[in-house]
Amino acid sequence: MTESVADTRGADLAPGTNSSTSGGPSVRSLADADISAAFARGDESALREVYLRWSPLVYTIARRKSSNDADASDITQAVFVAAWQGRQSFDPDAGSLPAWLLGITRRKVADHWRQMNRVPEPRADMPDDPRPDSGIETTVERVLLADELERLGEPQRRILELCFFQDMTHAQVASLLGLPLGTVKSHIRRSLGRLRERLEVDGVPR
Amino acid sequence: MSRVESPSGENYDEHYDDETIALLALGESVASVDAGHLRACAACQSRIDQMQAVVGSARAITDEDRPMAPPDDLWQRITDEIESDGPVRGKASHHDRRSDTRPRWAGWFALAAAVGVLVGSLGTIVAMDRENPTPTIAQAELEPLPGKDARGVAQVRQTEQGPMLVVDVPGLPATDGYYEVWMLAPDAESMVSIGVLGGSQVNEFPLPAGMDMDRFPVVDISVEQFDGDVTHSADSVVRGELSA
Repeated sequence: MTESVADTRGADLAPGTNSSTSGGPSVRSLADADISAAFARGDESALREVYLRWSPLVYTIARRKSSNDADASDITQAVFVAAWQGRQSFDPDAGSLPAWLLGITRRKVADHWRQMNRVPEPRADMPDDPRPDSGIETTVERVLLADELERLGEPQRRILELCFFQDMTHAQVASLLGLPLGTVKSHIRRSLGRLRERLEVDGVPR
Repeated sequence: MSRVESPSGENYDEHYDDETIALLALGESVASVDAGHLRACAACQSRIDQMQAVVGSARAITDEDRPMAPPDDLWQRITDEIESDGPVRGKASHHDRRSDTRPRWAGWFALAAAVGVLVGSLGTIVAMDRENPTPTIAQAELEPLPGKDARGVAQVRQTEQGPMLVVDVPGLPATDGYYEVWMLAPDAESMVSIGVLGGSQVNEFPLPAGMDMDRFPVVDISVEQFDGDVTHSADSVVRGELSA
């Protein structure tokens, strides 16, 4: 089963979205590490970067787990204020900054429902699962995976979305996109590996 | 497929390669796989299971799970909040409540500060039982941890609003921080925060719907500092396991 891993066509398909156009796949994680380190040093400007980079994750989880968008904003605000005030307790060696932020998010969501003093109810405008009263870990996982999917670049993202949401086989995907079978298979392998790694790095409760 | 030799020297002919694992996790049938190996090889099965969990979560993604930026004014609200509370320590801001858009979290910190000194009332959990006869589903004797003195009782009661954890620990010493109630797994490695103890001796906390008391049967009360660290301080005062 020797296959070509090289796939220059992928980058050509969607210039500007493939990570290689911004200097290689490691750029994002390097930048994240820089932001985390600056934040851990108490660099005030780093908070802005942290917010820009990770507030969509926090806000989306809060939206899924609260009654309305105003509450989701309040929870998100509480998370970032608490993160700033508690930044000295963030230890970059103990885990990723997003994992730490999501730990605070879990707590602030729980605080929110305690404050409301009632049992969480599903949002009328988001009737689908997960309901707010289902485990928050389900939501955390889905939002992290959705985020990582968006970061995969093309054609990796499209390949996985066809597999996940259209239930296509790799052969069908290859034929639809006009890509070699082996290329599709190795994209699937590497992309699934990235999704799994993202959950391992950022999804573990801290 | 690769040949891998196990530490025992046994020859595992055909460990699945990552690509096969990925395709199997997606539910595809892979013509070349040796199904007999899968039945015999726990390692390959476990790799498939792990990847299937990822695939299962990913397949459940809806549009509402796709990360979306918060409203534009939220960053300004955050910096206002941080500045009004001082750049370093920002607990319990009672001042500067300018408008109704003031976020609720300030109140939470104020509440936490207010319980800095805990004074036990004389009410007991037994008295509460008489006043409020809700069925008790489980109970725990809260025993002091080494070097601590307090002891108390915790009960889970079924109320109209759902299950409630009632905690009564008289004689908790005053603290500069606050007391937090947790429910721990038996190995104390994972836990759920239940709430912050208020000023009265008997405290009631609604338990989240779906809270698995079999998984988190141990009631624990810890001393927490106002350090912004959301994790358990590892400084527990009392602890006890719920039983029916």
